[in-house]
Amino acid sequence: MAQKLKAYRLGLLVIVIILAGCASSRVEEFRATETGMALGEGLVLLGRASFSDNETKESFTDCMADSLKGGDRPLRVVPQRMFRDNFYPWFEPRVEPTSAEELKKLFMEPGVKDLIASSNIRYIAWIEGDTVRVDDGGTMSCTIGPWGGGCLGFSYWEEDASYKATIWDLEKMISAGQISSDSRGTSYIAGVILPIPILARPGNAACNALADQLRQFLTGS
Amino acid sequence: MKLRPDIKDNAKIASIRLFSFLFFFTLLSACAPSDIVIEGSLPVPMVKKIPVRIGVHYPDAFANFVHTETSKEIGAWQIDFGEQNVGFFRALFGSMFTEAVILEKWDSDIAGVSNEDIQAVLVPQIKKYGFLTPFVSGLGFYSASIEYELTLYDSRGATILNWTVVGYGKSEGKAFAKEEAVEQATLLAIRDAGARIAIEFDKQKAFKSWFGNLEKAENGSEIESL
Repeated sequence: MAQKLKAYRLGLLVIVIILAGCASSRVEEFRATETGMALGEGLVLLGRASFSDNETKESFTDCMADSLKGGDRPLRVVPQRMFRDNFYPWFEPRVEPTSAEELKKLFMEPGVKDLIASSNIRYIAWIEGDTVRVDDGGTMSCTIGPWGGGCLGFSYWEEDASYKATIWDLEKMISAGQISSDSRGTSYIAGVILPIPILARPGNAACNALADQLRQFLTGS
Repeated sequence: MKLRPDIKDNAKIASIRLFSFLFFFTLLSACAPSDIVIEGSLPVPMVKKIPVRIGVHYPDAFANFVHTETSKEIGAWQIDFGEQNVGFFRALFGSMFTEAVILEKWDSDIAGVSNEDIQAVLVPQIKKYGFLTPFVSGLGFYSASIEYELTLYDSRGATILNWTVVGYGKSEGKAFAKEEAVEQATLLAIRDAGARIAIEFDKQKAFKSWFGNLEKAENGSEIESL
């Protein structure tokens, strides 16, 4: 019985280590104006695309949207893809507005202002950034054959997730502020016949930190 | 518990057979040519209509565009644009102009337009198409580019505008889904080119000049008829 309990505790510890990893986050905020969201008002998260390798992946904006839609005070988040389709061609990567001044010009195009109003979208949050590998090392080799396989060795990699959200207030037609989040974490894999991963997920940590701060920025809670 | 030697041998043979089958299946699947038909939906643009009644002729090379490519690095590819090009451009031009009529036949050298209501004829063509895999580019995504050439003729067959537009698209690659990634990148490249056409077509110098003259002529004829 005692042995069983020991094994159970050890298993639990391994699972916790695998799931939690270790990632540290730092969040900074710059506010240019007062913000607030009335009942029914929505927000859209748009990933900045630059056709370079380091552009915001859709999976990151989806993660933020999921985080903002949940919790005690859920926000109405308009799906990015639906927004871009409805406003085609104005929010396509190479023609989208890059400043609040350009947004004012865009609002003069027929139908744009009316569609924003009927969709009840109050804010656009432009998400920029990426998760990159900054360091790695160690060696691990795995072999597989007809009679089985296994891994031996140890390897690690360090990732940096640096993201920024620029918030535009579509009612006041100004940039309301900026929030940035920087997370760093080191993951390990130890190969002792079976590969044992100890994963830090800085991208996930940055997503949650940025989403929490954005919620606070928009609603004050 | 000890297994009988004949059962042990049978299990060994079975595992070798399974391993060999998986090995050769993997090799064969890696050599299989990639055939893609571009499918998917593209949105209709929300732009101010240009007050011109236009005829659009889609040449066969445009309507039935197929890209084939074979190389040591990427293997054999065949990318069929299918209905996508014509379907998307039909919706695009339909939302850009007051009226867009499809012309089955058109030859600027032989004659002008038989339909008197049409003020100009637009002929789109694909000049170049290319794609890159992560293996070739060294980047973590698949990308595609399409170079379209749009030629606008007046009703007598004289060239008004010859405009080249390049669309780019990229898609994150997934393991064992390279065809899907290239298809998605191609679709985004069509969408990107369409966005530029919708926004920038009426800002082209040659078009503005022709359109200014057309407006003047129409206003003049209206005043004369009064």
